[in-house]
Amino acid sequence: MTSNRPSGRPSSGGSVPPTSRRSARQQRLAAREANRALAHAGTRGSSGSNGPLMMYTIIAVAIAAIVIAGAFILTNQGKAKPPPGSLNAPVGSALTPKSIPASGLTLGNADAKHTIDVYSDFQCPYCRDFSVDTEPQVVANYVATGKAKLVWHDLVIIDKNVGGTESLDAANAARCAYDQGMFWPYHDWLYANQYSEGSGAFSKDRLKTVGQMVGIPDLNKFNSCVDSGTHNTDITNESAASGYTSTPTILVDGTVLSGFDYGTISAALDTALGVTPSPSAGASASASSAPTATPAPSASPS
Amino acid sequence: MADTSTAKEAAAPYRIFGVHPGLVLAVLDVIGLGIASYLSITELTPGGTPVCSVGGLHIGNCEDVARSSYSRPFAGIPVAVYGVFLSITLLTLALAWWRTNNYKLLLMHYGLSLVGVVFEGWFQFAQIFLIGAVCIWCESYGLSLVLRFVVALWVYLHTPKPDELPADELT
Repeated sequence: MTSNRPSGRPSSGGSVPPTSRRSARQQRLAAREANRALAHAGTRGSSGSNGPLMMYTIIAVAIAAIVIAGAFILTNQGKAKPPPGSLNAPVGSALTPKSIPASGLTLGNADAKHTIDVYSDFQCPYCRDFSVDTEPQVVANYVATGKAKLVWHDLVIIDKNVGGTESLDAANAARCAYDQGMFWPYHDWLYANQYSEGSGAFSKDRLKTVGQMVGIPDLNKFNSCVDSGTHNTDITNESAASGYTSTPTILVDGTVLSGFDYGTISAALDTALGVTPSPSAGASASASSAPTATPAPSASPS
Repeated sequence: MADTSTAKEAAAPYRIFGVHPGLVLAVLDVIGLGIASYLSITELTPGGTPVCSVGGLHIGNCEDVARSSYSRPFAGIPVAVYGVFLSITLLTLALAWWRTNNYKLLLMHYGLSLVGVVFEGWFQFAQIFLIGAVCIWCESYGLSLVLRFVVALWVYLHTPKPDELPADELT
């Protein structure tokens, strides 16, 4: 009867004593002899026995080629440039309530005891998720109530990954809006109109269109600021000086958080505030008191 | 009387330091599974990124790789998750081969690991030339895949196929 189990004995057969009665040296010699016999047998029959190997190789390479082609196509499909209509007509958004005091890049009461620092890139999709999904909850529950202030910091890193200067240009445009007291509305609009990284969504022309639609008071000054990259040096220096390498990076009172989800941020803030919330309190509070994130109606440039 | 259908497919393989190579492959599969699992957990955790430094020394840039769209080409699922499934399948094949000596299982292990190696080649290209960052965990997983592929190929080439052996050597 053929054994399906590994026998442990040399396949070349022979009168080798049982394993239990052999010395270690004998066992090594026996194993070596067995391998030699197997190698000899493998070589002996190699001329006509590699058909299955070739078949599996061809199939494997074909499957891998299909997978790679699919990965390449799907990855770059997302980078397709947005249709011209979308480029010319950015969608409005007003996630940051106007009722909250804002001073430059700081949102909320500038004298608030606790600080939430946000290091972000306008092209980064995770930053968009944070800005659209998490930040409104944080703002509603902690900034609007005066418990903490939120401070924006530019951390331009996507340009390095995908090439181009769209992250830097977007950050500069937001600072140009900041010059005219419109940072936060412009910030909201940028994230609402983010496309894939390096897609042209934040070309200078589109950034100027967004500025026009947000309602920047002195549009000529704004456009000139965008074209000349007035704040580029400051933004680049601040990004480099931060030392952070991923976006978004969130700090509460100077401590870097391990994540950027609402639970992590609210837990850190509650600890700072000396509050011990029940496990479900954060979620329910955020659901009930989230800001009225009412996107402004879509508008077209005149 | 010998079971000829099984005898056709079962043959004692070339051993590595006296160890059945199925176990060597299984160990490599477990290592790969561990790496892929770690990457999957960190990438599926909101805000989580793989630790990319050892003793304060920054090795590569795992964050940039993890957050690149090239790391999530299919339905936004991280490639590491596919690595977990691949490693589990390879581990199952390696253990099954160890238990049965059915060389077709070794061939399947070889073929699947080759799929992984070719994809790793692509991902290596993407990291260096498209993402502009290298993730040490991805490199480690790729290395484990290459080792699995090489071991499977080497053992296959050094093991006589059942129909090349005299009938008495199959028993």
